[in-house]
Parts: sequence; C-alpha cells; structure tokens
Amino acid sequence: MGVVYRARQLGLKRIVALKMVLGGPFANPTSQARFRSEAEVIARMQHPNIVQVFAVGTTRADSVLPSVVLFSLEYMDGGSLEESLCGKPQPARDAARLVETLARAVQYAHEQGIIHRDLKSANILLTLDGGPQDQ
Amino acid sequence: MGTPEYMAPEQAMGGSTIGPPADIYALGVILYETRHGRTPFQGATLDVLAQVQDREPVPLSLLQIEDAARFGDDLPQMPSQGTTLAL
Repeated sequence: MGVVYRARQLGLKRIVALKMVLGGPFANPTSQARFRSEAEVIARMQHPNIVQVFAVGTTRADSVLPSVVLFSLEYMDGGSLEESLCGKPQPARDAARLVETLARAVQYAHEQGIIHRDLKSANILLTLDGGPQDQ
Repeated sequence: MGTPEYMAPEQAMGGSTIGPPADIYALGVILYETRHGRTPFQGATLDVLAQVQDREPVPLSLLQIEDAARFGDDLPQMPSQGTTLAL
C-alpha cells in the first residue's frame, strides 16, 4: 500500500529506496502506525537475502501534506523478479536455485516469528551483478 | 492482504489464521511461475480466488511442450543473479 521512491541520501551519498504511504485514505493514524511497525519488523531481520532497513522517520507536515511515516531501505538495482521474468519460462535449474534462496530467507523470517503473507514475484527484488547482498 | 494468484486456499477463503504454510504455498507459486512464465491460476480476482480453492494447477510436466513451442529450447536466462526478499 506504500509507494517507493529511488532517493539519494545526502549525508552518505548513497542511493536508497524510500518507502512511504501517501495521502488519501491510507494516511490515517492507524495505517501510519501499522506502516511504522512494518518497518520495525523488517529492521529486526538480518539476512543477506532480506532487504535491509536503514532508517525510519516522519516527514514534516506542510500546508499540502500531513506528516507521514517513511523509511529508507537498501536500493536494489535489478528490478523485480516479475519484471525480469516478463512471462518467460526459465530453465528448471535456475528456477530451483532461485526458489531455494527464497525458501531459506523465508525460513529465517519464520524462525523470527514473521510471516510474510504477500510473497509474489513483484516482491522479489534482484541485483544486477549479484552484488554484496548475495554473498 | 495478499495477492489472489499467490494466495494459499486458506487465505483465499478469508481465514483468519494464516501461518507459515501460506508463505510456503506462495513459494510454490513463484517456482511454478519461474518455470512456466505464468502463475497456475489466471483471471479476474474472484475467478482466481475460486480456482485457488477448487482446482488443481495444470502440472508443469504437461506444459513443457507448450512452453517449448512458445519459446523454443533456448530458454531466456534471467539477467540477474542476486535475490532479495522485500516485505
């Protein structure tokens, strides 16, 4: 229910993903609180294949927008699995290897008592070079 | 919460006790989708919810000939290697 921006963190000169709930019906205090606890849940996890949360904060309210919760996440440059597949079948070995990686990450989450509830190819993010996240 | 194509039957039924098995079911859907290019059930939201509860997916082994005809033997490689789970 959030939107994600590609953003530059000024102090550290790095690209991050910035996730927030925009205005409208989702900007009520209940969903803001839920959104914040979502960030806290992700931040509890430390796993090479689970996206890392850098920081949680709130925006300053102005005349247009009320204050909203946002959090910054590790930016993944390879897009989603859904985009990458684009409806095309992959070789069995590659498919198995991918899902093995996912299954291990999900097991880790389950061991922390966290259930994802919305696993899908659009929620699987890839890196272009298999970078540091995968090592 | 959830996306119909990836929902376990107990989620599609609107059950309130959704546990780890629902995530494992979704992993199975992702495996199917990666191998076949499409999720097992397609259609409008309500159709998919009904299919998830009432029907068995077409076995991948039966779809291999169709997939080979559509894409040839040289299946495209996924460009990316690193994988991260977003919540």
